[in-house]
Amino acid sequence: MKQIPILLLCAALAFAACKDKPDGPNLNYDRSALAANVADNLVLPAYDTLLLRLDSLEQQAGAFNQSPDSIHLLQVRQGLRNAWESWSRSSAFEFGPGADRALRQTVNTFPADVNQINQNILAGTYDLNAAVNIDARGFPALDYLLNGSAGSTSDIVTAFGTAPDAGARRAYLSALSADLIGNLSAARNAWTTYAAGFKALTGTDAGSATSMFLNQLNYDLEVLKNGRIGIPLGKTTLGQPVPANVEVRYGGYSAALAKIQLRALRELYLGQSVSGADGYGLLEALDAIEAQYNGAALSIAIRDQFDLAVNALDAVPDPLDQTVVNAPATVDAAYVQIQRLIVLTKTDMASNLGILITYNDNDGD
Amino acid sequence: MIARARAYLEAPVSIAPLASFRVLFGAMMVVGVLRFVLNGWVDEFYVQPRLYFGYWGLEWLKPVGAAGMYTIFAFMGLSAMGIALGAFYRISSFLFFATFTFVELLDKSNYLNHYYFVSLVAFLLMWVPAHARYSVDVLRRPALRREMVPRWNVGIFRLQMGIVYFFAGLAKLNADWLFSAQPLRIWLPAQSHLPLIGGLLAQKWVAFAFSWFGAAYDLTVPFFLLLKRTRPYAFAAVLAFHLMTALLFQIGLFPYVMIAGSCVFFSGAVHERLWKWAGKRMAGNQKEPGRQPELAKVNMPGKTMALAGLVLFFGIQALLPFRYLLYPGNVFWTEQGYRFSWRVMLMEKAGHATFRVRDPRTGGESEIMNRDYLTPNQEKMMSTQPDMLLQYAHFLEQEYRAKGIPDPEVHADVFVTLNGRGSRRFIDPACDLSKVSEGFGHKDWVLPLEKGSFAHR
Repeated sequence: MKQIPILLLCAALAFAACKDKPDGPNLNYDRSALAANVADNLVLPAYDTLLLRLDSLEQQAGAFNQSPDSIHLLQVRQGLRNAWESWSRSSAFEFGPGADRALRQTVNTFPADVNQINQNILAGTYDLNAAVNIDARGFPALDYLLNGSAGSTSDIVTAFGTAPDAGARRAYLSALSADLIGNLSAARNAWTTYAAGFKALTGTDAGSATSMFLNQLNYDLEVLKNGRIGIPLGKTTLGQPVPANVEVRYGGYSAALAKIQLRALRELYLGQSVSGADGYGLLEALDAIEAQYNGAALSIAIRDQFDLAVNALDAVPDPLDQTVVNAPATVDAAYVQIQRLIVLTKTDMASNLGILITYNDNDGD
Repeated sequence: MIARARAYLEAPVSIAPLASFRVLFGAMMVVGVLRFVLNGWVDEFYVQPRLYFGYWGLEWLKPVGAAGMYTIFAFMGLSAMGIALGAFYRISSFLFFATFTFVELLDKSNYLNHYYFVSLVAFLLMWVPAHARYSVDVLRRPALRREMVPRWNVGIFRLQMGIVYFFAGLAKLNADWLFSAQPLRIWLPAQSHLPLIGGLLAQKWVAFAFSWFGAAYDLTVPFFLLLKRTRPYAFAAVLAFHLMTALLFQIGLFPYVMIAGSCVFFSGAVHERLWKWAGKRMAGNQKEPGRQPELAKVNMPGKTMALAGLVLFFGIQALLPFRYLLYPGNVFWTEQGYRFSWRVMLMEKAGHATFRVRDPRTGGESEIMNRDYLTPNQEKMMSTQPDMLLQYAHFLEQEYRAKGIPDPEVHADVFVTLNGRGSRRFIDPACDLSKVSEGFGHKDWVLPLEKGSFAHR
């Protein structure tokens, strides 16, 4: 057994010798490139657009508060929709600064608690960060104020203009839009310094850039499937639809937001930035390691399934609260396609990339 | 023949390897307990969950609340300390075995092969006088002190180590491991950011080399550790192998436990030199060595019983890994006979399970949001393990009975990927799991791996 050290030495030499001439295909994917693309081309531009739109929203809200008439109401409603659409393109970034501020919760918990909102307006003082106000803030609360707090457009104008509590209502509108900007700009600013560290997290453990990105992409797909579609469709209530639980209950564009979110997730998968430039995404990562699915490339299988889901969801018309009652089969078809997509992203993609779908950092055997 | 075997097993050998093993094992466990508590795992695994996946027949073992669980872990840590120091050893070793094993039996989600190993070693430690030298107990009661113990007192730990290695090696002799280098070809490139070796880990041939070397190592290293001539080289291999695995995989203390455990293979003389050296460094530690060459007194009447018990203990361990042969199908896929078999780091498996509860009266169907009931870790484990899928289905059945549905049906769409194979249906979606009873019988509602239909296509 005296040969063992010699064998070990030979093995070491063999390792060293082969280092320069790779033998066989590389099994690796470029996690640095992926993290850099995520930070520079996906997260930051998405947040920047969102912040611009939130600024517009704040200005429009201010203008409406100054002169509460139907023209300004329509403008601030459009501003809300623009910003909300932008959020639908950013909701997957619940890691790093986004997770620190629990943006999904602070920005978009729905359905809004109408009683709580009205109590806050009545009281005139409130802490939007208090636990009771989780569902009295963010986009859904704005939706209620601007689209649903009174019967018709002119009623809402009156509520903000001449009603006894109009001043408090205007103040709440300002507070809500300021709250959104506060949270998002804090997250965006934190990203400026966070980005470098994020790009350096090139491992595959629970805290690595790839793991956080992939886990949150999956989680966002589940939010889309369950929260935005499944629950209103009655998936958790023995098939009885719950139309009141749609995302945009009063504005009536829930399906439109869902479509935007799914398209955005598809672009995240492809590594495409808002401008359309195609960077290093999960698709490229799967190609690099030649991941297979049913005898073909897994990357293509997932892209095709994204396309099927996008097409199926495109067939779902707004307002979603009526569609889930009148044409549930259309919604269900989209639901099923998203479900199939999640199987691929959560099992095949995660497994092939060596990423665990779990948020805690525990031991394996 | 039996008499000769007994004479061999009972021949006196130095107690030093046993005492060293005791100290190293106890110290590791102190670190392990502290690490578990400080990572917040007590809370995460044994306080937060809404339900627990108990073992069949032992489901009545339940966590005992936050205060209770932290108390148990406090006792576990203290008793591990007691083992390391050899303080109140009989109580300490029993308490450690009891608390550790209790915690491990609470939830299958947390099953790890090395926790099983710890329970086994803790059990063995209860039956040997590992505290009869180099211990607080000897300082307290010098009469306890012994220089020699029967050979089997040390041998059982060598055998236990050997079983872990050998069966882990046998388990590696499967097609995925040897001919596809799975799952290492997924796991190794994941570490390619490491300096120096990182680039190599992304090479296909390296994954194959690691697979084959790993299997050869596991199968042979216990024998090379037993032979005096090869022992130093084998121990060097132990060091290299486990330090490598510690670097590459997230497996906690296990590599260090195995390195420490392998020290038990060294002879009494080596260990005594070690203790002498350590004693010199801690001046005045041990007093004048009063020569007492006789054996530690194991209860004479119980001796035959003890030996028979050990034969049973190791016999069961040697049979458990083969029980998978009683079931049809691929053991990595069906996991029938998977646990307690030293199948260590052999599969990359991920799944997605969607449960549907149906009210047979109305036909109304609810889909379950697993996060409402399970922690992320439990969901991950449940999604790929048939017995846990079934337990969860039964839990959902009860949950919906309580909601007023008299006889709910529970179905599941489960898709699983194993070692890089495309995800496919794992269980029969038409099977009403609420009607299936748990047990060790074959689960015919698990679909076969190779015939499994690809997702929806």
